[in-house]
Amino acid sequence: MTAAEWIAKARGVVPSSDSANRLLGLLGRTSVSNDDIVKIIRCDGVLTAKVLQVCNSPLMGLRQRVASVDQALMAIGHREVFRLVLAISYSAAMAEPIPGFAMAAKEFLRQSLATAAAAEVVMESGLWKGGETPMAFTAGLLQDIGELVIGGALTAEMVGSMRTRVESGGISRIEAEREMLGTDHAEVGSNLLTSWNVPEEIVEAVANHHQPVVSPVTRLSVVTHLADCLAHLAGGAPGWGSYAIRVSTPVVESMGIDSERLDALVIATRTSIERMERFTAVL
Amino acid sequence: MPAPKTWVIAPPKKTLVVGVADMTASNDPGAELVTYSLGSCLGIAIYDPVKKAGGLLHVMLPSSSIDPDKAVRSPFMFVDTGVPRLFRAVNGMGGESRRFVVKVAGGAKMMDAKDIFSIGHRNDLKLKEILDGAGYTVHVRDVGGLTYRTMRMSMANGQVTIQSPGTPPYTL
Repeated sequence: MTAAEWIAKARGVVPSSDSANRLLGLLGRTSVSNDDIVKIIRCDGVLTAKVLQVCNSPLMGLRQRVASVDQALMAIGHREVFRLVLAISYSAAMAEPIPGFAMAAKEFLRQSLATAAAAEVVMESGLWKGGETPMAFTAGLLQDIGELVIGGALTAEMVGSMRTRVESGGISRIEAEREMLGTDHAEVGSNLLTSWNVPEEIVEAVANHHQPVVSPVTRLSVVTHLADCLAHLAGGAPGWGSYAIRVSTPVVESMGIDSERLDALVIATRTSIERMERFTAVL
Repeated sequence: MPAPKTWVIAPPKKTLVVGVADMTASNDPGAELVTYSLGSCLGIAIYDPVKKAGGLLHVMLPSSSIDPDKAVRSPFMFVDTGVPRLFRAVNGMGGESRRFVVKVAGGAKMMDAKDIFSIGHRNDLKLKEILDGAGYTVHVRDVGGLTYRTMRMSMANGQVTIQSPGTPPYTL
């Protein structure tokens, strides 16, 4: 089955969000005002209600009650509202269990938010200066979205065969997907995002997060690849064979990562994940 | 009223969850300690079968020297600062070090040609160094591999069970 056929099969399993897509459309602009964000959120009643619910939850620790999207922006800021809207938009689909990868309910959502948090850590570390942090956050959040599509459709025989290839054959999980299915979650995910008109930089980062592009220029997939590894090392890696990831040597070399730098990144990622878990608890 | 000898409905088991970079010790035989998401992290369980006292530690990184300030705020994040505190906590509940049964799980490893990302292996080496230095041995271990684990310890008898996604639990 091709990536396009997997996506056709998955329609409705992973619904796109108009509000999230419009918000992602703002990422390519040179300047974004609060009004631009408010207009998008206000048009979506369910999204507005959810944003206010999360802002007013005790976990957010705000002193004053938030009664409108404008107030939410004032209280928690541009960047946090952006994160929140994306997390809310995809949380329903991402919170579902994925039987093909043995992930329980909410595990995929937690892992996606952890990867998004890790992508921000990579950006803030200064290891890569090619793009904007919200773009990296979004790419981290969505990089494994193809697993939702594939993992929900795998039969028990397919899972058994893939596990044997990974556990005894010495190949990575994505390599086993390619061998068994003729495609993989990165290709399926990037095709899905293309069909949603998500910015090209994010599609690249999702498509190549297991084979990041470092030449002739490094691209955002370098960040998503490293973020994927960091999120695993900082305490979240659901599903079988989740450590069967091939770390990209060109990324390690081009970013000058040694064990000390890696450990520091893991600590920063852990801190960032703990902040992000406020969202997971409320969503 | 005394507790019945045979329960019609068993009393609920007290589950104490040990988070990432966290530790819990107990001497309550009705409790169970559990830690989730052991990937490259190590879960270290110790138990004194006479006092029925034990503890479970979930460490993330080998050495606190990378961030001493973090080690002050979060000592259970590191093997070198977490393990001595685990032993002291169980000693504080009457556990005697010479009777401790030590069980270890976790330390999953990514496929890294340069071996920089093998934090699980570095955690394991640091643990060995600390235990060797203090004269302890690990009685049983399930370390390495490609998947993450959930580790549980019954405080009634120190039995440790391990479960990985998609596979049934087994006794370590």
